[in-house]
Amino acid sequence: MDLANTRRAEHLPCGAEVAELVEQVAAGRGEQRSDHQATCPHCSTLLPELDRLWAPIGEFTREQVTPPPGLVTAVMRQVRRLVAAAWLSLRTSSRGTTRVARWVVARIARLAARQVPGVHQVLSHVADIDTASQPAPAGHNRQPRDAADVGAGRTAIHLDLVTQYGQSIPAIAQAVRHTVTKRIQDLTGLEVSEVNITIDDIASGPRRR
Amino acid sequence: MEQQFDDAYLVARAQGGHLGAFEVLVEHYQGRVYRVALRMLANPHDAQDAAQDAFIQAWKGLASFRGDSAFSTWLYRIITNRCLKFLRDRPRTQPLPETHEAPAGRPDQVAEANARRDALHAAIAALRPEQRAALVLREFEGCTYEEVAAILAITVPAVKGRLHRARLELLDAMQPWT
Repeated sequence: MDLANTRRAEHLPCGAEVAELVEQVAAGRGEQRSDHQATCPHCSTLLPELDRLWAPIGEFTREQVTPPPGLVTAVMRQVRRLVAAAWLSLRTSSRGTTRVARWVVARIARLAARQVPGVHQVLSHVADIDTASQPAPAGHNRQPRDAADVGAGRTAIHLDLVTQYGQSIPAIAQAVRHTVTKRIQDLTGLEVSEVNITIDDIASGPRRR
Repeated sequence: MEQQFDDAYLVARAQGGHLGAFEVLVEHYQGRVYRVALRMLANPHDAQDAAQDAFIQAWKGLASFRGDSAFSTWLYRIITNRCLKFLRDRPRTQPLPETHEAPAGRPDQVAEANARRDALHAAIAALRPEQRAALVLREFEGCTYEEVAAILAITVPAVKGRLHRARLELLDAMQPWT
């Protein structure tokens, strides 16, 4: 009998399920035969054959694998970067540290900008932590739409606005810059060094929030 | 039981932002996570990248881990999905031969052992990624059928079906060598 074909069958002529015999061998129990298997000519032909074929596979599954030596260090370096990017440290004193999350500063900026007359909408988009941790090249168009970007001792806010038709864009931008800077300083104590504003669109309809 | 308790404690501390707790978890699970990646991708460089990405993803997603499953099951799911995605995006990556200790013995026996090993590697690499995932989790990691089902988000009978087909492929590949 062709054993390769026997393996492909669902059942042996005795009714035993081939999948169960294969499973038994893969689990390393090929030698532990049931009463039926001990006497059945079909089972007692197939089981040793499966055992022989499975031996090198079983050996391979038990082989020791050592993770690369720098794995933990590499992971933790990245995690520390993520943590530093997500939190803005405000004050450290001998009695403890006060931290504010990056997206909290971004939200304060958004809420403050919305209150400026002539601002129709502020697109709310908190920057992805990964992208925010990349330093922005000066004068470059930034991807994150509404993000607080904090480098060494400086905070830069990025906002995308839709303004009301008929209102002076430079005047609105100046008012937003002033309001946002002041609000963030009042509420968090953070120094805002830049408020970068992009006017995305002009609205002609009634103001929405 | 003690292991479970440690996991819960470390995970809770890591969820609270304790980096040291997370580092202990990474140290503890790196062997398993890396082994899954290596057996799935058959390439040490890709495996290291995948393992690293999986741990970063775990860190980012820690808040969503509610303890409904064991932490190890949750990690296995992350690394397995990572590898499956990698294989989908880049299905033609060539496996790099792993360096392994030369077995002692007569040259013809050594040659045969190496050839058999290569045949086994090739047979595993030829499995459909979903079958390979079931095989790796069950035969290499020793997960139960229920765990494999939870990790792959399929039913236990589906796990058994995949495993049986995968095992048959490997048995066929070993046929000429015994």
